[in-house]
Amino acid sequence: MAETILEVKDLSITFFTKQGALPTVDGVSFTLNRGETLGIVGESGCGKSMTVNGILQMVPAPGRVTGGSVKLAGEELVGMREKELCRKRGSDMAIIFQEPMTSLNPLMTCGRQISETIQAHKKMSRKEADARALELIGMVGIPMPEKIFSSIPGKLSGGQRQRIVIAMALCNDPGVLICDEPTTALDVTVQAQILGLINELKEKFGSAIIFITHDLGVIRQMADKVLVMYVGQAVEYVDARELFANPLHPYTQGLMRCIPGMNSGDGDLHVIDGSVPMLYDLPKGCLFAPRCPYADERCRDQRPGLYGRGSHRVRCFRCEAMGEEDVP
Amino acid sequence: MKKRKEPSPVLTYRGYYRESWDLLRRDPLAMISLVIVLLLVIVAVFAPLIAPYDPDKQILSQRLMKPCMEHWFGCDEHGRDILSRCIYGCRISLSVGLVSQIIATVIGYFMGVCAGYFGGKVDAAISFLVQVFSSLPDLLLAMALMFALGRGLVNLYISLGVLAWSRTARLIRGTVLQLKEKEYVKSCRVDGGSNLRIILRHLLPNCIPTLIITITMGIPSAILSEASLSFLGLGVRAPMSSWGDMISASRAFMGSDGSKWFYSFFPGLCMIVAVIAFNTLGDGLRDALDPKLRK
Amino acid sequence: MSRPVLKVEHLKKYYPIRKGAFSREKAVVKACDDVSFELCAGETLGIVGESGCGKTTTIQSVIRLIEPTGGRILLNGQDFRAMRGPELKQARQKLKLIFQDPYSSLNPRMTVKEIIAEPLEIAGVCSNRAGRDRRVLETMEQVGLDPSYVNRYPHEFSGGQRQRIGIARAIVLRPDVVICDEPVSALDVSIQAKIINLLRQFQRELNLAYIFISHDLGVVRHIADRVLVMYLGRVVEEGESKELFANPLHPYTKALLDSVPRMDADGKPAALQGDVPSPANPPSGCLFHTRCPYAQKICAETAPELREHQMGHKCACHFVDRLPSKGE
Repeated sequence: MAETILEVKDLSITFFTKQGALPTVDGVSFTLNRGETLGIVGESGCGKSMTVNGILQMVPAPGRVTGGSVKLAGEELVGMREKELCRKRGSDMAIIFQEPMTSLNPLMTCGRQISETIQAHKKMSRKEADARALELIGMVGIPMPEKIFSSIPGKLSGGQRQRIVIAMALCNDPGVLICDEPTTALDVTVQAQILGLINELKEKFGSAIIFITHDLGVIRQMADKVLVMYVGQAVEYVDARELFANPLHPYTQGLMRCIPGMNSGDGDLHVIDGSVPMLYDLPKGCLFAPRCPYADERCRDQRPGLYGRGSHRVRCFRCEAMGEEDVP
Repeated sequence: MKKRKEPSPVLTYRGYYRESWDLLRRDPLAMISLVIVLLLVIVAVFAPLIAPYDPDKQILSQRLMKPCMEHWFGCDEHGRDILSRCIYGCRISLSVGLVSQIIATVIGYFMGVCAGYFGGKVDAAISFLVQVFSSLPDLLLAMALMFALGRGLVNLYISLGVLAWSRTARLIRGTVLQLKEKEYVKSCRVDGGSNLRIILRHLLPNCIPTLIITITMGIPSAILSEASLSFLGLGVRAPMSSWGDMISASRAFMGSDGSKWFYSFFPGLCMIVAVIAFNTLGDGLRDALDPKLRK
Repeated sequence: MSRPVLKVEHLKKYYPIRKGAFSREKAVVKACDDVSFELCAGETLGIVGESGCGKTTTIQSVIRLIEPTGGRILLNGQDFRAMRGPELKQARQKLKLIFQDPYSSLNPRMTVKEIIAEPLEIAGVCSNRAGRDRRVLETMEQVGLDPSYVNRYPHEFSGGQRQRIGIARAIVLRPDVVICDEPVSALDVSIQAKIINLLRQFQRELNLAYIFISHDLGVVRHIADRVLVMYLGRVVEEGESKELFANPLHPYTKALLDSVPRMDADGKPAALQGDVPSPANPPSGCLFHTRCPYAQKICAETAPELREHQMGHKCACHFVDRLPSKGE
């Protein structure tokens, strides 16, 4: 059995606003082993980014982690002192954002930014740190690392910037690497390069990866396990292979069918009726019931739990027969 | 295909200015300054009803009378009631502030829009003019204009307006440069909309918050400039007098014993209160109107 | 086939650039170079390519949002580029644009009614207010917006609804050609499907011709009849959508298709090496030779012409007949 590095249990994040307490993330649980990639997929506002903010204990106000636990290598992060968390972030956990420029200082050379990140967490001389930074820049597949080392981020292309951000994230061998839509702003050919790079580096560094995206195609390429989220809840949690072969939640099924693919027919695209409910006006029963083609009285009245057997968990009454409700 | 209605709008949004008002209302400092500004405006408008005495009536027996129950702020060297003169002075100061800023805004908006929207040579010419105006010392320019035009209220409006337009023009130019790249402006051009339509229907409504802020922030500096000019004897014609005139006249009586403190103190206090109120209101408005601070 | 409503011949848009502040040397960026196509009523032309390939420049030149440097644009057989004043205004009623960003494409200070009615006002049709209002309400109904929201502001709507407002504005004058610049890229997949279905529905009902720009190849394949593939301002391949996606001829098109992470098939996407070269300093000869896996000496020397290889399937490559076809 592989070593579990991250264990998230019943993580809940609530935003306290004028409209009341909004359950932005509602009881999300998963485990992540070393060398494994978990994909989190869902539409905008479904709580995927907030989930990782919760893992990093960086929930912006007026939000707060209101329940659950996050264990990184056995250590509980919820309630940990800010000073210790700071040490964890950037060394044991690192994050890559969608827009590389948000995590780069436009006035500092790329090399120096990486070596400073190294120095922030490790006792190392400037010279050693610079050498390590140069090595990392080479490792993320940038030709002529010396030249890039002394360039400011503004001079680089989008793909190269994202590579620098990856180098910066990996510079302290993080156990968990969180990628928040890292390729959404990139062109497809560059996206393919970056995805390849992330996979390659995962093997090299042995990190576990949490990969957030709205693109099911990317999930298929990257993820070992997938968490499908809808309005703050995990609706399906399953091995990637199984998900694409046999999606069980009506939302997952709908999502897959409405994407125009290379082999789709000429007719109208499948649509999911209605729209995502607002957090301050959630339905009483299953959150997906108002849009679900299979919904019945019970769905509209009660919230389903996560049902399933083995590694396949689905938040749908139709899958209740598969096994007892429990937390994976 | 079945036509399905999209669900109801997601937010209860009640228009930009309503939302701004809600934000402003929650800012206590801004609300206090708004109340003071409104009071000043009321005082200025209803000066004849509020002032206890005729501001120009000289009663020589009351020369330099100390503040007392009949004359709260005391009397000046001609025996005129300082409170009444402050109340009438409020009229002049406020009108100078407002009218000069409106003049500055009209010139500044037009120049700024032309520079930002048309770009190229127009922009180069207007930007040069803005540079020239903003590199001249403010007071010197105003003095020169007042010398050339002569004393008087209207000339004060004009010279202070001319003084302030360059700042508005620069701000508007920057705003328009951003707005003109917006897709709704492009889409109006694709529809064949004229430049005038774009400037009036698309650019102006989106510039109004900036204009409100510049006017509010410009009024106190105009009031201060007016005071400076009056102090130098380049303000309104006697017997009209602004706060600056009164401070100027009190200069001769600022003796070492300090017994005539009230003569310069009360006009000065009025000015300070007005300037701080407008500045604080301007700050509050900026916070309330700035879209970057909105969710 | 019917007469083309829009015919573009050798369209060029060059931007002059100066090399250095004091240099007299003049250079040009060929943002769009020698682009030709025809568009018939009821037909959709897709334009694909990575960012910086000139898709947006091309359509902005076609619609004369920026003045093209050269070439001919025939709208219903008339020379669109030669038009001035009222004639131009008249012609502009037939050519509309839908933007990508549903947030910046609607003036936040105008109500939905004012936004949709603006093209009517400019064109001077429906001179009385009542007629104009009726037309606005009708159009709102058509795009699936509740007409009772007519006096609301764009802020109040979700991304998908805003894009519907954009579509309403584009179709309110019953144009012949609607140019869609990445109209669904900013939307979630389930909303994307609804908007695509809506666009296709209008195409059938109003016999519209679309130019559809997208970086999402799946979407283009679904909606387009013919496709142009652009690279650094030039068309490298043109063909019937199905044929082009099933049997891409140009190495760039192949690479582009291989880069897309697919939901319906396994296998890692094949990454194309390197970044898109700078348009200010394009490669000699064939623009793609710096990244092309099949490049030979001749590719760096002479630029290949866009030639027809099969019925209606054009490609600009020296070795088009000698390249391995897909699947080999």
